[in-house]
Amino acid sequence: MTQNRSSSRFPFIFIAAAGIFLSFGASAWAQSTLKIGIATEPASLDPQFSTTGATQQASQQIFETIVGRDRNLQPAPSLALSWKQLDPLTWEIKLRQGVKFHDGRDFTAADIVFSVNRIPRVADSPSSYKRNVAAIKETVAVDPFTVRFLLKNPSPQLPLDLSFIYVLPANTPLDASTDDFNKGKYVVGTGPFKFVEWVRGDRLVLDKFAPYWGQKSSFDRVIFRPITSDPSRVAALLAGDVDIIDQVSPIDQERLRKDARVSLLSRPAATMMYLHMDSNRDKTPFVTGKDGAPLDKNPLKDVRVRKALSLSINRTALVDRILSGAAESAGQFVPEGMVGWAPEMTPGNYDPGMAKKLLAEAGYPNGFSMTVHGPNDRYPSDEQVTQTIGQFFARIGIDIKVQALPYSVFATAATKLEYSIFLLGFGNTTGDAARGMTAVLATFDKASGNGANNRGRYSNPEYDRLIKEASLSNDPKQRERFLQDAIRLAVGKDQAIIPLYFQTTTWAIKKGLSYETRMDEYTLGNYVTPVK
Amino acid sequence: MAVFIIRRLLQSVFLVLVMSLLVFLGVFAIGDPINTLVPPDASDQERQAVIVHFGLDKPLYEQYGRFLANAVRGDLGRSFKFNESALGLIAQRVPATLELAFAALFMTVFIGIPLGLYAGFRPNALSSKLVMGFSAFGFSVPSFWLGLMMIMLFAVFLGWLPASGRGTTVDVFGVPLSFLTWDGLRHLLLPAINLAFFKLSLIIRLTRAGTQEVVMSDYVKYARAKGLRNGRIVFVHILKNTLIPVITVLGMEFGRAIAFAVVTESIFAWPGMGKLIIDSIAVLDRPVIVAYLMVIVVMFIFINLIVDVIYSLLDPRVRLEERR
Repeated sequence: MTQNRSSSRFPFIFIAAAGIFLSFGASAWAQSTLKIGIATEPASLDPQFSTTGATQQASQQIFETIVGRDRNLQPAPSLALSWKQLDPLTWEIKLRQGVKFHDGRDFTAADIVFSVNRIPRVADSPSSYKRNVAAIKETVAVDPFTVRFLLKNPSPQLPLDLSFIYVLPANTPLDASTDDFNKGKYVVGTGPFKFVEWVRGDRLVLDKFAPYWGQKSSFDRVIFRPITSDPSRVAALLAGDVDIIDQVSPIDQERLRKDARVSLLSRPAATMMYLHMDSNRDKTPFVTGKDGAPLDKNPLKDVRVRKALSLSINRTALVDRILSGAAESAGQFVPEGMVGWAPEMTPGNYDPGMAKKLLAEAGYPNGFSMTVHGPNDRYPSDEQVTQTIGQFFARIGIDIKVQALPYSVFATAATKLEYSIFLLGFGNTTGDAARGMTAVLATFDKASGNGANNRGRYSNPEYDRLIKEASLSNDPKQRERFLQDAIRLAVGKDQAIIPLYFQTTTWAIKKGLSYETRMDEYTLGNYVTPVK
Repeated sequence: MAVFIIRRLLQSVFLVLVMSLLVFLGVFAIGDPINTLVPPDASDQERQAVIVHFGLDKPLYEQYGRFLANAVRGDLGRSFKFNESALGLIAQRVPATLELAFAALFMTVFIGIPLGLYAGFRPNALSSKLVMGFSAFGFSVPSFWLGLMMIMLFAVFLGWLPASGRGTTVDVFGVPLSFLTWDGLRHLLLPAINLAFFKLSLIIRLTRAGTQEVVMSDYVKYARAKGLRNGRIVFVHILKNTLIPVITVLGMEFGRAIAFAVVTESIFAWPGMGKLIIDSIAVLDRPVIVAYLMVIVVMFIFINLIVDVIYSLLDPRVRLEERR
């Protein structure tokens, strides 16, 4: 959608002339271009290198995954049309026929086998796809359009894992390095766009791939432009440099809502913001008596104190005032629409009276003194949220200090268990609560890798059992019930974490265009369409 | 002069070594990159694998030793995040940053020095007061605010110039340059003004102060008494003597424009080194941070050397060999 922006300021005759010129030009040579302003640029063009969102966003445009992911992150047909489990250790998928790679080659089962086998060979990635193929022992092409996966151990989650494997053509050299991809070599997929050019920090240019089987692009060309600074991204949209921008900050939304040139699109995203508490140790570093003297025990170990803290937070006010409505209050791990959501687990009530009563019951009628920690550069308005939480706690009689730090410093200290209560977010990128609930709430265990993000060290054997049952269950209904029971236990009963809100992702788009928003926050060029 | 330059280069090697140690320690003090690199839901095995792979489990002295050994061979490490050579990533960004810095320097020199001279000659004229008022404004306005205001005015309201980005580039000997195309120039203008604004104000003040001082000096009065042409007095006797402090400051400011154009580059989404370093700091991409700071240290050493050489050319009293 490039247009001559300054034309409106030209005298009429120029407009007329330009109009005639453009109408001839359009048929002769002009091509339609969509420009997308993005907050973060991809780490690489190797679709098997990094699982980070910005990188997958680019991969989604050029390549396709074996199993697709719909707007709600649920598995959907893509290169694989159907999948079924033949026995606990064997899965079989049927492939779509007539799919072409950008270089004209036909897509077949050999490409799937190659792509799965390449992943363990992709070196040096800090966020690798290896875990998505960890359960696979062997990938076998039964016929050109049937593939079987032989597993090392039963994995009901295989379709989910396959939705993270981007397919490369089998004639890509096995030793093709991430460097080669970044230089534009081997960037050949079956996706809606062909690779044209990547200038790091400036632009990623893609052209429409006409023979694409799925949702085709309405534009001949799409250009992704990384614009890190929030106000600059908004300015680029208002100036007409770009047609759509992602991650509009809460502050900018207020203003853009009143601007007739653009529209805002919001969607509850998969990131759950929560307070994590040091709930398992007898001593905790940042809680003392009001006089500064150490307490004989850790108040956060008492479930009544944790419940009181949750009750003291007015989530509605937090969302409306601090986040300008750009979030949805949360009472559990995943938003509605994802596996593991329990209908009756509504966001916690706001009841400071009850909170004070619970504090008194727990033996702290006069409160105590506590420092709340949080990041200041990681999530939208994270520092203000941390401060607001502190104020809510102060209202039930707790002396509060608030400290917000850069995420890199904050996360290091939080992981070393140096804090007592702190704000964090968890991105439920798989459309399913299991991974997050295992990482954040399962008993910390180095060997199994459970509880990798359990920085409060909550531990309940019953919870661990439910999570384990869910991961082994082959019946989706049963699996969902285990996850629901687990969240009822950990949050409903034990209040191991205090869920605050699900972040909303907001796009701003030029009037006259529309975009089908997604829970994974990606901006995909082929889903931007002119409004008829 | 050759002896001087050689001695300075030898000192520089020592300086670079000390700086590398400081930078290394500093980067370690910030935090552990593993938390920003590994996805939040990674299992402990995955985390451990990454830690071992990047050598983060090794003690600090061992990591530093390995860094030095590689650095001697010209390898400053590979980016954790991008898996590309850190030096290569920086090199990709150098042309954009240099272009922006030179454009800003150009504006500073060719607008700042004449305005400063003018204001120094006629300190009481209204126009001079306007110039000085402008320079006071330039000092006090924060760069990020000015940048955003210019974007709002020239890109959003007037629609004359693009809001951000670098625009069309042309390859000259393999180096992409944007000032050779009309589209590129339009993109370059606002960021260059933004970057030049403070320096311009500084140079105006320095030149004016120098001019006022020199105008009063005996040799200028003597030159006038001798009946020299005004042009010769201004450009040979006054300008040359005013320039000595100005050159020092220009050298430093040029270095700062290259090294710390972070604010301008992020506001205008200019794909230069500043944007790379700020993104790298956010994810603690240690090799890139260290490599960048080392490049900057070396660059400042060279700028200072060049400034000293220019001194000696401008002022015959300065003998480089004699400075110890």
